[in-house]
Amino acid sequence: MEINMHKKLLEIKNLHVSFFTPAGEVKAVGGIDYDLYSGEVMGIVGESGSGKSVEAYAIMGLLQSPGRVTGGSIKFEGRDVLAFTSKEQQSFRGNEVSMIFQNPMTCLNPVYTIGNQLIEAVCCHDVIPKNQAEARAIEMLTLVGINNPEQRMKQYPHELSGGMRQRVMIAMGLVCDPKILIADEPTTALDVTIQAQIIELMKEIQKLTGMAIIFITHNLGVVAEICDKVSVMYAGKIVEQGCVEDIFYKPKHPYTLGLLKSMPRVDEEQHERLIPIEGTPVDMLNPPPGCPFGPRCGFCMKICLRQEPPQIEVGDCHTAACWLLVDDAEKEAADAQ
Amino acid sequence: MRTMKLFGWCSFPTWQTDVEPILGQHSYKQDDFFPATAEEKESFIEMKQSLSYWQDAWRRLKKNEVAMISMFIVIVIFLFAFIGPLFMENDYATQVRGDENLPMSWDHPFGTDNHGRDLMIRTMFGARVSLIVGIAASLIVLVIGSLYGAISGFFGGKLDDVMMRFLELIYSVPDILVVLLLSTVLKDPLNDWFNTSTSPLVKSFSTLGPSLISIFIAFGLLYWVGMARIIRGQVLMLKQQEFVTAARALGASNARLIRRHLLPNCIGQIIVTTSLQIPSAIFLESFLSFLGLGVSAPMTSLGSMASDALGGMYSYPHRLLIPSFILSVMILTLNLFGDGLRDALDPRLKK
Amino acid sequence: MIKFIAKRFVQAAIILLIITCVTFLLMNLVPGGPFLSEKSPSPQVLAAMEAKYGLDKPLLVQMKNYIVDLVQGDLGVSFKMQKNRPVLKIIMEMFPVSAKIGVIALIWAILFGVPMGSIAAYHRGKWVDSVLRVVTTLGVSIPGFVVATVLLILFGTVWKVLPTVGLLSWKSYILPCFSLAFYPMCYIGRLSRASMLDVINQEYIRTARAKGVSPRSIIFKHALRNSFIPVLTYLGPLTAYILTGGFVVESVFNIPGLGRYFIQSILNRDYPIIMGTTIFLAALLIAMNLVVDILYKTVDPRIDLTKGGEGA
Repeated sequence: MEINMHKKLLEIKNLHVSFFTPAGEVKAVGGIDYDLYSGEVMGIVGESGSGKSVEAYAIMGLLQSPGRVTGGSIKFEGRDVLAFTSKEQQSFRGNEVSMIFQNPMTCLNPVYTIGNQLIEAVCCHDVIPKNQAEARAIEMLTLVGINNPEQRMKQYPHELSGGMRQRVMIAMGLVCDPKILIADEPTTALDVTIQAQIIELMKEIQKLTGMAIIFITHNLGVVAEICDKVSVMYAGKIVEQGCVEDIFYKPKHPYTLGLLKSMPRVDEEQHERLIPIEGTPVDMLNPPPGCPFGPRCGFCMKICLRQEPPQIEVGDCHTAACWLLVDDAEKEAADAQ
Repeated sequence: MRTMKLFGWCSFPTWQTDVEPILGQHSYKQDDFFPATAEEKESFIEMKQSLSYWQDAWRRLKKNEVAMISMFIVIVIFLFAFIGPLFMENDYATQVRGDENLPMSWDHPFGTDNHGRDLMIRTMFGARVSLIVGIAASLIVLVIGSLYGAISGFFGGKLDDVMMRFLELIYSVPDILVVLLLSTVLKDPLNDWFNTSTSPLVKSFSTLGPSLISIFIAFGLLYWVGMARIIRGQVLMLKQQEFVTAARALGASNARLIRRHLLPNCIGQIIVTTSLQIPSAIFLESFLSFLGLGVSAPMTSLGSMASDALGGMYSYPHRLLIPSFILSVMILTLNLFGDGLRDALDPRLKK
Repeated sequence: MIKFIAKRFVQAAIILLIITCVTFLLMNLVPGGPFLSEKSPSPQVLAAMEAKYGLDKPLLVQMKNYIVDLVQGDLGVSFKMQKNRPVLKIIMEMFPVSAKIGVIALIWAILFGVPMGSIAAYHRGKWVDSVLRVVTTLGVSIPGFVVATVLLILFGTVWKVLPTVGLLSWKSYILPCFSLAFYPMCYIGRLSRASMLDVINQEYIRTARAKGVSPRSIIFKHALRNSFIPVLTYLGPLTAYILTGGFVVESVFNIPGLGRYFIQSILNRDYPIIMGTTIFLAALLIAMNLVVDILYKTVDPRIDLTKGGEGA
């Protein structure tokens, strides 16, 4: 494990994704950068519509018309993912990087059995006899904590509970032993108790297999639970990025701060009121110039509405995009200009 | 490293970062780093003008070219059928001796038939019959179907079970067979009634003839099933929504619930289903008329005209083609307009 | 499964019984009985005929007799069109002709309709889609008799490539079958386009893509089967359409089938034939609905047949 620890798996540079709707171009992802190393669990946090899922789809090549990558690069182990032919992409998906989705209720094909769908996932990457594929599928179901896997294989998705189906989805994601697992809000549609079980399960599996996970969520609690690194996204941009401690204890961006303040905490002594973030997200169709969070920001300055803030390094592996972080002295220098 | 007392609740360490390369690229105004005023922030949040449901629907419908063209053609056909006969000399039944089997000409744009009747005026009346049948049948369906569906969905429980069972039974009855059967069976009794009654309403029925009356009866008996199902589904769905529960919790009566909450939310669906029922009723009428089971002579409909023209179809193909064409255009535009209406009234359905 | 089929079978039988009774009662609504429409026969003749056909007994007894006969395969005899020939014999003679055309049209409609819709959905927004949309929209708006007669004019006077009357060779099947299949084909095309579009936006398709399943397998394995479910629902109405559409097509193309005969018997008021054919066609439709229900279960496992009624 240790040897692999610092191998760079995924490198995303200045990724842009747009949706070309009849009403105009919606820049769902507007230039994001990050790296993912093997064995790392990275959280991507943001509210709905912030582009976190879209970015994951871009990696998987799952973007569908009218959505399209308009700029930047995605490299997996040095190979350019965006330049893959459809054949290459097929063998990449599921095999190198697999993905599980938010709603396990609708993510499994209702007309085929669990076993059929699991075996399909194996067989479209490895040419192995059916009984071996089946054995592999059963092994995976056992791994994700499903009892009676042989019987479950014969059942249809509608015969399983939501938590069970999400376990099946995870098993399906793992069945080809991918290097990265992208989990797109895997717990959002589940009951709280089941959520905790699924998180626990993913943690265990991560330890066991050592794969990297990109964990997309809007739930900061889940992030604290499982992630090493966190990227906070707002309106298609990463506004703050850092290790989980940085984000939770030394948040730099007012949006991150807002997210943290709007999260209920049980460990806090004094009963602070939750503070919601005022306002609504920007209209992605006509984004205003400047910082997208500006209009909702309590510390908004004139420049914030005029010019987009740069990414500023505020610590080791900790960056944030906010004008507030530009040092006072430099501001004075700017004023003098 | 300094501490920035920014947010009040905690201190922020700020890092001395090398911002020169960042700042160097920009030029700043004097007040760039002063707080922005609320107004400035406001100006970035664009408020969309809010439109009422109907305004919004009309705006969407206007944008839909196909639907607008269809609407225009439908209006033209309506004018043709209802205003057109006012400008014609002859009646649909007037037979002019010596004018038999005329080709298309200035006097008789669509020619005449073998009884010397002008085919233009007959086409107008045929279109009129088709439209009347379509609209009347749809209204029957609308009333029975939405009442049945609303009652079944609203009260639910045992009543709903029984009503749905009955609906399933009706659904499995072959409808066209019933129409045929009714028109056969009712022919004599209805004719007797027509002949003995003096009321003007019955007289106007008698021009249409017993077969059309049986179509109406069949629509009243069988065809409301689809509408009832849709409305029931809609009501069931709405009933579970929070705003209905909230209204109920506030002590709203059933009547008020239906009037204020359920009906306005169903109205789009009802309009769309009704508008799409019209072409299918016209379809059915033309089918029966073509088989010789439609309006009674001398009244005509587009289907009967096509049927009448069948005998001389190789010598006078226009007699067949003109009513067929108008009928097809009528059904097509009504369908397209209905589709447009659906897209406009129920944007959720449009992907 | 067997329990379900048995249950549905009983249900179908009950519906058929109801239809038979209603048909019988309706037929007897005709004032003076079925003979009066003709030039009034003398009272003696009428009485003799009524006695012969058992029409002098009370209505309910007549109905009971009719149903008992029906179960034994006796649908009475024709009054007018083929005097005194058993109705069942007439039906059995006419039906195979209609069935041949009907089955060909049915298969044609499905075999072309489903791919048309799927191709349109797959190439959504491209020219193929536009062309297919225009064709199918036209197809569901043009009444069957218009298609049939226009084809007749074109092939009868203009092109003269295909026979237009009767059923002499395989070529003579083309026009009638096409006229009959055109509307349902277009309807199925629209239906499967809509359902295909719906299905390919479903999350399980995304899952399949994320697994690395090939596009071909996604369409053929994952999408097609799901998108076929609404088409299956249409099979019942489709059969009904083919049966009744047969009335028109057989009349236009002069085909000696049951449909044309049925219409003629209505126009001639040959009541036993009308009644017998109605019941026969109703039975056929109900049987088809039963088949559709069973097919449903095999395609969509979510439907719990043991609960009866409508599926989930």
